[in-house]
Amino acid sequence: MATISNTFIPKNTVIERLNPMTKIFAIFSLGLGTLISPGPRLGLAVIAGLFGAAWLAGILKDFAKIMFGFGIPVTAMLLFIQGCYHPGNVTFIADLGFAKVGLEGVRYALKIISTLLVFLGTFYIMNKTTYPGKLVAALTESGMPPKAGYLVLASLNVVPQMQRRMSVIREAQEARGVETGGGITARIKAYIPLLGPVIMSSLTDAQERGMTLETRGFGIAGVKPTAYVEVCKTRTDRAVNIFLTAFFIAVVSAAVLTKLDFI
Amino acid sequence: MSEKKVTFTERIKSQFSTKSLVLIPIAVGINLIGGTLCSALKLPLFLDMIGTVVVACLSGVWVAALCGLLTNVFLAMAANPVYLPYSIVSIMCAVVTGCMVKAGFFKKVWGAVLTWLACTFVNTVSASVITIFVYGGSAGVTGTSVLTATLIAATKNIAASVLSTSMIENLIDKGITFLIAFVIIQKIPKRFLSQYAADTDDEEDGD
Repeated sequence: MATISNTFIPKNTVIERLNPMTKIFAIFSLGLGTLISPGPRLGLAVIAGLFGAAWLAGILKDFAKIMFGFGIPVTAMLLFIQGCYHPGNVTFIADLGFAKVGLEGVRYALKIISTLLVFLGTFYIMNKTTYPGKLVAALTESGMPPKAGYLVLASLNVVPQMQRRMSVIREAQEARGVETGGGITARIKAYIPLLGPVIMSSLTDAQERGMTLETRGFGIAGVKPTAYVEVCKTRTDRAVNIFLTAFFIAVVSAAVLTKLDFI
Repeated sequence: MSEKKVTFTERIKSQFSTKSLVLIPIAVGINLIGGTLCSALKLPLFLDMIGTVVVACLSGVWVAALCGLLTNVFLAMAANPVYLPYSIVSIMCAVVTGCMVKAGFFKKVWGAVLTWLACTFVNTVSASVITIFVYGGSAGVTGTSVLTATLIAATKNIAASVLSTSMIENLIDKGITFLIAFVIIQKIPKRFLSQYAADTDDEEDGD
């Protein structure tokens, strides 16, 4: 988290050209579908599909990094927690000496992990392949108030700016002789003269920003705002939407059918 | 989530001015700087509420809540989508802090301590609920999940273990957060405070 910046890099791929709303729909359709489906198998299939989508989007390397970087530790942790101590464990498949591994817990853990990874993966692809301005424009078009859109975009812009300011202030404090290295107490002490000026100057900056926005008519009510960034729906969007809807309906009906069979 | 956002912004639209709105991105920035500070110092904490607390003192409850939500949305977009479900925690903490501030608790040290404890409590419960029901016991975000696993092995109870780890973590985390926020609020010039005091409905200027 040390370097937070705008993560979008334009690559002009098929995935990138999709309407942001389609991608958001994909997050919910695929994610909820995996959540509803009874076993972890569908989730694994969707994850495999997501790797394909990441390859299409040209971000396979980063995608794999985040999926494995998050997936492996969480899998280990959840398999341990749920596998050994899930309250519903009846059938035991292994004995570790201090605890027994139950089949139900393992299944439950796998289910959670697959759902999580589907949500994580779809969100990551959406985020990496969408220009934030386009995302906000699409959201505004589908009913989000433009002020909320401003907030999201402004937050995205302000943070790198503040980090730059922080490094400037750190250099200034170092020039005064404040030690910024050393042991943990020295480092904590070094951050106090850093945090104060950063926050104070940011607050003054906010005041100026507010006045600037006011003079440009940001607070005027009852006008129809126009967007600089335009988003449009293409034929691919429609096809993907139909596919996603069909997928979701199929999963729901399959889940309902298996439930009925059980009863 | 988008539905919630609409009602929040509508409320803010009716209640708050451009002045408060531009404060939100800044507060989100402050929150994230707290986070960077933590990762720079290699602490297993978040410290991602400093800005929210400052805004709760300056602008009010709902602005702070929106600020909490946006912080997590931004974290999800920039760092790791794991943070997204925890936005509910941020919102709830912001609301609690905002209400306590509005009731005048943040002017004295003991009041700030009370706010700290209340916020810790809310954060512990809501974060644990999310960790258990969304992530099945461990989100793998910080080193504290190792502690959780150890506790589970010792007590064989998932809910209690997650809850106690979360409480230890949050007590320290929120303690530092509120300490920093309290110092900052004391240091903000009165001239600056007064322009926001005009926006909040019934609170008098500073102390």
